[in-house]
Amino acid sequence: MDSKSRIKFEILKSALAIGIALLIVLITILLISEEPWQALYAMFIGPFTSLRRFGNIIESMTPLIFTGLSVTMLYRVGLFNLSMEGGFFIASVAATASAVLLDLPPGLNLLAALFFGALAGGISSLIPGMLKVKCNASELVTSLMLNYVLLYLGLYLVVNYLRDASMNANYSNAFPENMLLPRLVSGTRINAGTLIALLAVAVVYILFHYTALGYKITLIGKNARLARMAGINVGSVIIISQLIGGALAGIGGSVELFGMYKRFQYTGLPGFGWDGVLVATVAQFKPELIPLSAFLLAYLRVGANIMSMETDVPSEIFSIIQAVVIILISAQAILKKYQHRQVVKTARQEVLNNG
Amino acid sequence: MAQDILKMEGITKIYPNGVMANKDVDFSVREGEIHALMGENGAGKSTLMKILFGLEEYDGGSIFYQGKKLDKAGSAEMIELGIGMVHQHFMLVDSLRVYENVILGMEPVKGMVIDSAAAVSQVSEIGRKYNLQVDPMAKVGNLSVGLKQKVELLKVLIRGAKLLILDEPTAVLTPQETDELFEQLLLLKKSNHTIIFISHKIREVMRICDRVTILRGGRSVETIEVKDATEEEISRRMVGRDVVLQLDKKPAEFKQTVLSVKNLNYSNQFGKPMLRNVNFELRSGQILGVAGVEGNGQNELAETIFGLTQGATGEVLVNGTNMLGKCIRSIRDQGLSYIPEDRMTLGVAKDGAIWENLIPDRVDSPNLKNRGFLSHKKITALSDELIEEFNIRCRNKNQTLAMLSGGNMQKVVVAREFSAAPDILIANQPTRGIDVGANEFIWKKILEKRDEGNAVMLVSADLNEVMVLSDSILVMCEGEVVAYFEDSSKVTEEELGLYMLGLKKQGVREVG
Amino acid sequence: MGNFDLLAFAFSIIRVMTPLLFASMACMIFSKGGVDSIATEGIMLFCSLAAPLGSWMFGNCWAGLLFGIAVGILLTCVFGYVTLFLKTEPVLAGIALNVLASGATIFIVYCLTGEKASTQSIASSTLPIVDIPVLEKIPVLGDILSGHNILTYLSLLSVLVLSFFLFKTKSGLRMRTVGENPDAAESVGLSIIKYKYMTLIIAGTLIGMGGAFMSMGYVSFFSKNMVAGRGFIGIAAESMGHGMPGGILLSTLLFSVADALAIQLQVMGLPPELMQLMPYLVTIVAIAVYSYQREKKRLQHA
Repeated sequence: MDSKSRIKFEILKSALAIGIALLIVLITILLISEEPWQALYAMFIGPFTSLRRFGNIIESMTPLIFTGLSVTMLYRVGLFNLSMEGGFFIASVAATASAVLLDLPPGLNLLAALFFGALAGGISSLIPGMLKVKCNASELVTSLMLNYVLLYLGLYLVVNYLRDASMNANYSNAFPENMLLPRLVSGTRINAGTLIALLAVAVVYILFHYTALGYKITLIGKNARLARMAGINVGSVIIISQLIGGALAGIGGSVELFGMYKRFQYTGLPGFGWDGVLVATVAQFKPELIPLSAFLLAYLRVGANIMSMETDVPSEIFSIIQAVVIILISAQAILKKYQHRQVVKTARQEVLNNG
Repeated sequence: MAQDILKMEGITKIYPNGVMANKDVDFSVREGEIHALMGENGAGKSTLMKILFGLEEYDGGSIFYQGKKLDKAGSAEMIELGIGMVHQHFMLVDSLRVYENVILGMEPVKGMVIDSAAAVSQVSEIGRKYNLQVDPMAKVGNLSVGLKQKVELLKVLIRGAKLLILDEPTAVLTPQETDELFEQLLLLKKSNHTIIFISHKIREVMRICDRVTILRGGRSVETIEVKDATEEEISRRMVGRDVVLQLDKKPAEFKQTVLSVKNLNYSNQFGKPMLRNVNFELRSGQILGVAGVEGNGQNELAETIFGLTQGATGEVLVNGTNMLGKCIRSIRDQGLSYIPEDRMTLGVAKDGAIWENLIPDRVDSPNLKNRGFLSHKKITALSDELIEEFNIRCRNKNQTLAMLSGGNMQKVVVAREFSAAPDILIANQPTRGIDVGANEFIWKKILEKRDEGNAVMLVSADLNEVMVLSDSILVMCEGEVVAYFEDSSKVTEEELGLYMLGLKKQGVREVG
Repeated sequence: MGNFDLLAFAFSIIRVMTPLLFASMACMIFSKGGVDSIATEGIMLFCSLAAPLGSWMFGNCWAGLLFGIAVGILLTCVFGYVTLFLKTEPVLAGIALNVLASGATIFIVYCLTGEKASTQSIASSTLPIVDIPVLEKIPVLGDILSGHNILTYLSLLSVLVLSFFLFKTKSGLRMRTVGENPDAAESVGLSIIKYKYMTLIIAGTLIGMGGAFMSMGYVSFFSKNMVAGRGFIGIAAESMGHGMPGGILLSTLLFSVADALAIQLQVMGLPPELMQLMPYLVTIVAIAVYSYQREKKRLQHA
C-alpha cells in the first residue's frame, strides 16, 4: 500500500473510532440524563458560545501538546516508558522550587525554572530508560512504580520546603509576578505557553524529519537489530530519546504552572501524562498532528465540563470517549478486510505490470 | 502397486501480499512409501504441505485422503485422521519437559492431576518402539537440535500418525544426526508409515526416497521413480534448465591480504563451542566460499567477524588492525559490510519505507546532509539511484518494505551493503529464499565486487552457490575449518561433501 | 520505639498484602497464559465499585462479592477481546481501561448517589472476618494469623490452588503452552482461544476478589481511585517473582512489609510522604538488581 491510500485508511479509521466513541456517549447521555438535549448542546456547542470558553480549549490544549509530544518521543524508539505522568508532576515541583527559592532577575528566573523543570522531567524518564538499557529491566514496570515515587517525593518537597505557611492547604509560596507567562488574549487565560508548545511541536517535527537522531530513533523502534547491525549505537540513542521525551513533559509541567497558576497547588498526579497517550495515539505518533489531536481532546474536555456545570451529566463521561478512541484507533484488526483488499489489489496490479 | 493414500489436485494458493505460491499443483502419495517433495527455495513446497495440514487456506483445488475428500479442515482434524507434521521450525515449549511436550493435548490423568508416571512410560514406550531415545524428563530448552527433532517425531507418532510430513528435516542436523534420522525413517517405513520428505538436497533424496515430486516456481513439474532417475535429471527438472546457473567468470587475481582471522574461538549463550581455533586469510580480488552443513559455525564465524557476537577470543585482523570486540561502527569504518543470514530479523525494518532501509549505515554521513540537517533531496537521489542500479521492483522509495517480495527485499539489503563501498564484503546466505532472477542478479553483483578488486567472504549452505561463485573454498564442520582449497575448480562437490560431513579432514599444514 | 506493637505490625502486613496478592496472582495467570497484565489496575478499580454496589442492590455481601467477580471477568474478557482479536497494542488498551476506570467509576457513583467521592451514603456490607478455631488460641501465631477477613484467607489459598492448577493439571499445562508458544499448542490441535479465555476468566476472578476486598474488607465503601496503584504493584511482583508462585508471594510480602512499615513509621512521626514512597522505591531497586543479575548471567554465558 502506498502512502496515499495509507493516509486515506488512517483517516477513515480515526473518524470511525471517534464516531463510535461519540455514539456511545450519546446513548449514555440519553439513558441517564433528564435533559439530554441541553446536555448534548452544552457539550458540543457549549465550547464555542463565548470567547472565554474557546479560550479554555486553547489553555487546556497546551499541556496536552507537551505530554503528547513526550509520549511520541518515548514511544517511537520502541519503549513503553510511562514516566511522563510523574515527570510532568515532579517537573512542576522543580520549577516551583526554582521560582520560590532562587532569587534571580526577571527573565532569567523563568528560564531557570523551565530548565530545572526540563531537567527533572528528563531525569524521570531517563531512569526507566537506563534500567532498560543497562539491566534489561522492563521500563513499563519501573516507570509505573517511579510515578508513585515521584508523586510522594514531590509532595514531600512541597510540604516541607516550599509550603506557604499562611495557606490552609499544601500550596507553595506564590511565584514572583514577573514569572507568570503573559496572557495573549484578554478575557481568556490563553498565554505564551501555547506558543512555547507550538515551538516544541516544530522542534520535534524537525528532529524526526531532518536529523540523523530522529531517523535513528524511528529506525530503532522499527527494528533495533537492524539499527545495531548498521552500526548505530542503539543504547545511547534510546537513552537520549528518553531524556528528550521526559524533558518535553517537564517543560510542559513548568509551562502549565506559570501559565495557569500563581502557586503550586497539585495534591496528586494531574493525569496529563495519561492524556498524552490519547493525544499521541490519535495523532498516530506523528508530531505534526499533535496540535490537532490535542485541540480535539481539549474541545471535548471543555465541552464535558460545561455540560457538567449546566446539566445533570458529570464531566467524567469524557473518560469513555478517551478509552474508546485509544482502543479503536490503535486496533490493528479494524478495517483489516478493507486494508487487505487494497493490498491484494495493489499486489496483483504489480504482478501484472511486471509480468 | 500400493494405493494412493493422499491425492492433491489442482491446488492453488495466493498469499495476501499477492504472491502466488502454488499454481495448479497435483501431488499424490502411495501408502507406505517415502515420497520426496523437491524444489528450490520458494518453489512452494512448504506452502503445499501447510495447506495439506490445514495451516493455510487454499484458493482452489481439492484434497483426497484415503479416498475421501477433505473439506478445508484444520490441523486438529488432520491429526485425528492420522496425519502428522514435523515443522522446519520446531513447535515445542522450551520450559516444559520432553514428556510434557509429547503428551500435550492427550494427557493421561488420574483424577484431576496429570498422571506423569503414566505419561513418562507412554513416551518411553513409543521411543523404544521406534528407536527414538530421548530422556522424557529432560527440559526441552536444554536439548540439542537433533534431540528436539526426535521429540517432534514422538509427538507425531504417539498420536498414531500414519502419514508423516517432514519439512526440511535435515537442514539443521549434523551428518551423524542425519544418518540416524534416516535409519528411523526406514524403520517407520517398514512399519507401514507413509512419509513425505521435503528437501532440496538431491543426494539425501536419492538415498532414502522411493519417488520424488518436483515443484518449480509454484507448479508441479513431474513425479518420478527415484531408482530410474539420476541426480542430474532431478537437478535439471528442479532448476528448469540443463545446467545450473553458469556465470561468465573472469579468472581471479588475488592481491594483498585484507582480512586475517587467527585462533578464533567462540561459544554460544548455552556454552556450546561454535568456533574452534579458526584460522584463514582473505585477499583482495578473492571470493572465499565457506561451505558446510548448516549449524557448523559458519553463521557464527560471519557474525563474529562483523562484531555481532560477544565473548569470542582470538584475532580478527583487518588490514593488520585487530577488530575483535570493537563496535560495529568502527568495523564498518574499516571497510567491512555485511549481508545477514536472516533478512527479516537483521536485514530490514519491514515496517519502514524503502529509503529508510537504504540509509541506516550512513545516516551520519555528510553526503546525506545539508548544513547538518538530513537532506531529503539527497536521500531521494541516493534511493532512486540504488533502486535503479539494483533493479528493486517497487512503486517508489516510499513504499513499505513489507509490501515487497522476498527477492526485492533482499535486493534492498544488497543495495545498501554494496553501496557502502566495502573493501571486504561478508555475504551470509545472500540468495536464500529468493527467486531465480534475483538470485542471478545478486551473483553477478558479487562477481562485480570481486572484479573491482574487493574481497568477498561468501557463507552459503547451498553447495551449488559456493561452487559457482567462489575462487577458493573453506569447509567447516563442528566449528572447525576442516579443509581449504585455494583453487575451487580443483575440487568436486563430492569431495567437499566428504569434508562437510566430517568424513575427511585435512592436516594442519594444508588448512593453515 | 516504645509503642511499637510487633504483633499488630505483623497482623497489618497480612492485611495490606491481601489485595496485592490477588493482583499479583492475577498478573501471574495473565503472564502464564500470554495475556498482557497492564489493565489489572483499572479492572480492579471497577471491581471495588461493583462489589459494594452488588451488595447494596441484592442486600447481601456474598452477592456483592459475586457481582464484583462477574464484573472482573467481564472486563478481563473485554480486554482480551480488544487485544487478541482487534489487535490493539495491549499497553495502550490497558492505559485506556485504566483511564476509563478512574473516570467511569466516579461517573457511576455520581449517577447513583449524587456525590463523586465515595459510596458511603449507600448501604453496603462488608465480608465477614474469620477466627480460625484452634489457631486463634495459640499465642503470637493466633494473634497474627487469625481474625482476618475471609478474602485474606482466600488470597493465601489462591497461591496454593493456582500452583496446583498450573503445574499439576492438564488445563494448567495447556494454558502455559498457549502462553509460551501458541504454535506448539496449535500443532497438536489445541484451541488457543479456549485457553486464552480460561486465562482471562481466572485472572478476572482474582481481580474481582482483590477489588471486593478494597471496598468490603479494608473499608466498607468505595472511594474514588482507591486501588491506588495496587494493580501496577501486582505487575511488578510478578516480574520480580520470576513468574513462580512462591517467588511472587515473597515479592508481594516484601512490598507489604515495606508498606506496613511505612504506615508504622508514619505513626511514629517520620515524614509520611517519604514513607509512602518507600514500597515503590524498594520495588524499583529490587527489579533493577534482579534484572541486572539475570543480564550479567546471560552475558557471562555468551
